[in-house]
Amino acid sequence: MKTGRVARDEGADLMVAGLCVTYSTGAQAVSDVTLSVPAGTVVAVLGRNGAGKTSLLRGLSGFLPSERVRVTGSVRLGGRPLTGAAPQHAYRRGVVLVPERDKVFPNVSVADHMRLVGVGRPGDVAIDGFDAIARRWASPAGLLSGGERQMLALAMAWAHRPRVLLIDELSLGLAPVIAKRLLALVREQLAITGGSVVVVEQDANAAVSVSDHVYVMDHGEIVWDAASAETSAETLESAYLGGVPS
Amino acid sequence: MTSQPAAEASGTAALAEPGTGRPPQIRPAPREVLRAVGPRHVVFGLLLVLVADVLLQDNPVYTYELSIVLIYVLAAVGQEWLVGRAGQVSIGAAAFMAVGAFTGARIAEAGWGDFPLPLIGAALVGGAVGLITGLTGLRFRGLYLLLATLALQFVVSFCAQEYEGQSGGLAVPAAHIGGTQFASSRSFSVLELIVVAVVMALLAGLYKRGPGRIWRAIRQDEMVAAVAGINTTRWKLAAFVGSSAVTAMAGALLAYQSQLVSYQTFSLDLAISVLVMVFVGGQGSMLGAILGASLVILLPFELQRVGTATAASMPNLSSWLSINAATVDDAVYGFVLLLVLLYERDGLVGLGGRIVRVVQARRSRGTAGLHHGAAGLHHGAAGLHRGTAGLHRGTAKEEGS
Amino acid sequence: MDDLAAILTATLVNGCLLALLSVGFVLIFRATGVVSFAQGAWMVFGAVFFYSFAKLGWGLVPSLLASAVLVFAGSALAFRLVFTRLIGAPPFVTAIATIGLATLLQAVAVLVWSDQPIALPGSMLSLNAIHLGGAFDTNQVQLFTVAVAAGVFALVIIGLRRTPIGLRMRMVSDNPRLAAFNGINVSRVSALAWALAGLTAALAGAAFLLGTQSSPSTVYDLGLSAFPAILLGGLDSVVGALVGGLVIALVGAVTTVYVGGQWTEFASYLLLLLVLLLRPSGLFGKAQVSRV
Repeated sequence: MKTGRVARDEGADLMVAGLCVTYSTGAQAVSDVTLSVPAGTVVAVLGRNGAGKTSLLRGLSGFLPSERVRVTGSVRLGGRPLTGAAPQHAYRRGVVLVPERDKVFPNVSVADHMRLVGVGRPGDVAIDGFDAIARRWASPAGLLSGGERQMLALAMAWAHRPRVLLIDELSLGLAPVIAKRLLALVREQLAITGGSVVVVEQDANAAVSVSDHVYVMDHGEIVWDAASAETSAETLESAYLGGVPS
Repeated sequence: MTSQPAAEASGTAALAEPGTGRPPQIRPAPREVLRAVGPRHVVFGLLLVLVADVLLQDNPVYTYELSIVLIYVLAAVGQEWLVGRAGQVSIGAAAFMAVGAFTGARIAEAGWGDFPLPLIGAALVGGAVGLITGLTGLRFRGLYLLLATLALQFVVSFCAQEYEGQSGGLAVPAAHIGGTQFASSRSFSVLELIVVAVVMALLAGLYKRGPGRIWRAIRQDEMVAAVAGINTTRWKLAAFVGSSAVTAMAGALLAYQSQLVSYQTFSLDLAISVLVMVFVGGQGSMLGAILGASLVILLPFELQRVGTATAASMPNLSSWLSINAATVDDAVYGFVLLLVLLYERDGLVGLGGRIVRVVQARRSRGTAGLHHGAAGLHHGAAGLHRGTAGLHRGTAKEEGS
Repeated sequence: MDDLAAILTATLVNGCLLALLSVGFVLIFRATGVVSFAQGAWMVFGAVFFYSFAKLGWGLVPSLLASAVLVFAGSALAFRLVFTRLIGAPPFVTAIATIGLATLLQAVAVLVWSDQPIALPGSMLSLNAIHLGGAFDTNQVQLFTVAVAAGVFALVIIGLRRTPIGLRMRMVSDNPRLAAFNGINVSRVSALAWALAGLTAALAGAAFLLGTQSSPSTVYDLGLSAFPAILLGGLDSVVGALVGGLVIALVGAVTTVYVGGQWTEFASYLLLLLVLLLRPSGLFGKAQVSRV
């Protein structure tokens, strides 16, 4: 994995307009969402359970045909359309999703995970803190702890040098200390690999502290859209509790 | 389906007689009864008419075909119980028919009872075999039952072969009740019809009540049903034992009908064709079992007729057809099964349902506009009564609908 | 050859045939979760294609390769045409679909090639005894069968562990959605798994035909008799496919020698029921057998 700073890549600007995600049951998980993720920034998407955050990320990174989900609206990466692309196509365009659960393949070794993304030796992974994983190189990923799995999933994603990295609930199931460390790592890596990051989080404060811009979702819609600096704890609280943030 | 809401709206609800404390009796108006007759009942009626016609005609060929169809209707109904209601799939139809056939033949031949008794004996033995097999395959989710019944097919076939030995088959005397013999194809068909009707009536009652609902829940999502407190293993086992018993009865009927029982009849091919009957007809519906069985059984006969009809004009095709009839049937079954699974998983019944819905939609589109307008008027009037705010609400409702 | 030698030889040779069928099943089951009853049908086509090419005068290897390639393509096509449309359907739907496919394929084979025993032209491989030493005799066909099976298993095991495509297959088997999230073309990987399953079955069919003049029905029945082996080994284990094949072949050989040939099928299926009763996940299976 290369190191060294990367210039801002306009091809990584993600523009979303009027995105709707409708499941085969008829439930509309994402309603008319418009947002932008400029290259070089970290964007936080917050909200309660069921607000549509995961569906939003899936809508950006693609659904499998067997999931029978309808995605309408416009998603453009670097100006080129990406709406409704299959996951493997979005991956090739540089949109990589680190999902909420099942982030790694339990019966596949750590080494093989990294082999998928072209990393042959543990020493080639120049990420701060990855050495803990490197020590488990031959072990099946199913035996890793939650934090180690998250780290492995992130390492895989970064090895691909994503234009837009989508991370769903990074802190879930992790000790707050580890989650904070990983989020900070996300910020650091952004400078190294370039691109942009969207973090979906339940731990609102941790997310806001590493992000440049904050969106809050409720019932599939965006109810707050402002810079992190302008987003106070009170605002977040009222947004979560369902009132209209001031 | 039929217009239940409309029926409710126009039905006469007789209120409780004052002073008696009896609950209100809702007696359906004659118009309501007519409306409750759906396309399904029409089809059933037609089928009954057809059967009556064949029986009255006494054409030996048609009567023979009818007697075979009725046997497999029973077998398909039995399998449909398992597949269509409880959502479990098995390839054991032939094995259970074999068990029933041999048991029934043995009992009848030994003279242990008049007509229904061998059938009941067959059902009991079939159920017992089902219980043992089910215990191996049903404890787990997934396709273990399918594998267990595959094994059963070979085990039963072998046992039957050994039991039959060198005799070339077990002879079965004609069915008799008391002194009356039912030797002719026509009279036996009547017996078959009675058996089928009784079984279907019993099952219909079962499906409508608690057990039917439980099986439906299991079929929809076994995990959810288990979480909701249903002992899914026990109920799946019940369905499997019941379906085995019914299928075994069909085997016993076959023994009577052909008056000879041999293990070769009950091959894996037979099991597959019963599955085809269930799926092509429409799983989840006894009407589907009837339609599927009719189709699968009558196809070879029709092909034969085509063969003889073209004997003069296309001798090569005709002879090829008669030689390869069974294989052509297999090819057709496999192909149709794929079509059903790909495009219309509810088979003929599902297809019929779709057609009926399209027709109904077309018919109601004419009156829909009227209803829409009337509803709007109604809401508007209500709004007027409640003042200006009501007016707004009224128009909002119009737009909303 | 005395009894022991006969048993061991039969175990090895028949075991290889069953193992070839089973490993194909395992590949399909792991990649797409489908319980396929169609391996027997592909085996039949492998046999009849092999026969047809041999009749045209093609040699052993060209006929084998050609029939294997045809069935490889056929199985991939079947996957694309039928099973991609059934993704997400309940498992019994896909299993019944494989039964329908198998029935159709078998019927077509019988219609085109007839259900008579097929005699391979000339002598492709001799059935003359080759003395191995002690009480062991074998012949070219048996050696060939074992060699083919060994080659296939080596390729599959090494391929899955070492090659990029094998890695992708393992990931798809573990979690197809996550595989897609990581840029893997799941449908292409699945099609390959199906194609390989057809290939192994075809090789088994050709090898079987070399040793025995059999009709399509006989070949098809042999295909079905792989199920006891598959279940014993574990539905999702490649190693299990090999071990299961050998064990079932052993049971068959012992039964043939000490009880009688007509009892072998019965014995294998009885064993299947026993496995279901005692250890449904098989010897090596990892798939969770969930109690309900």
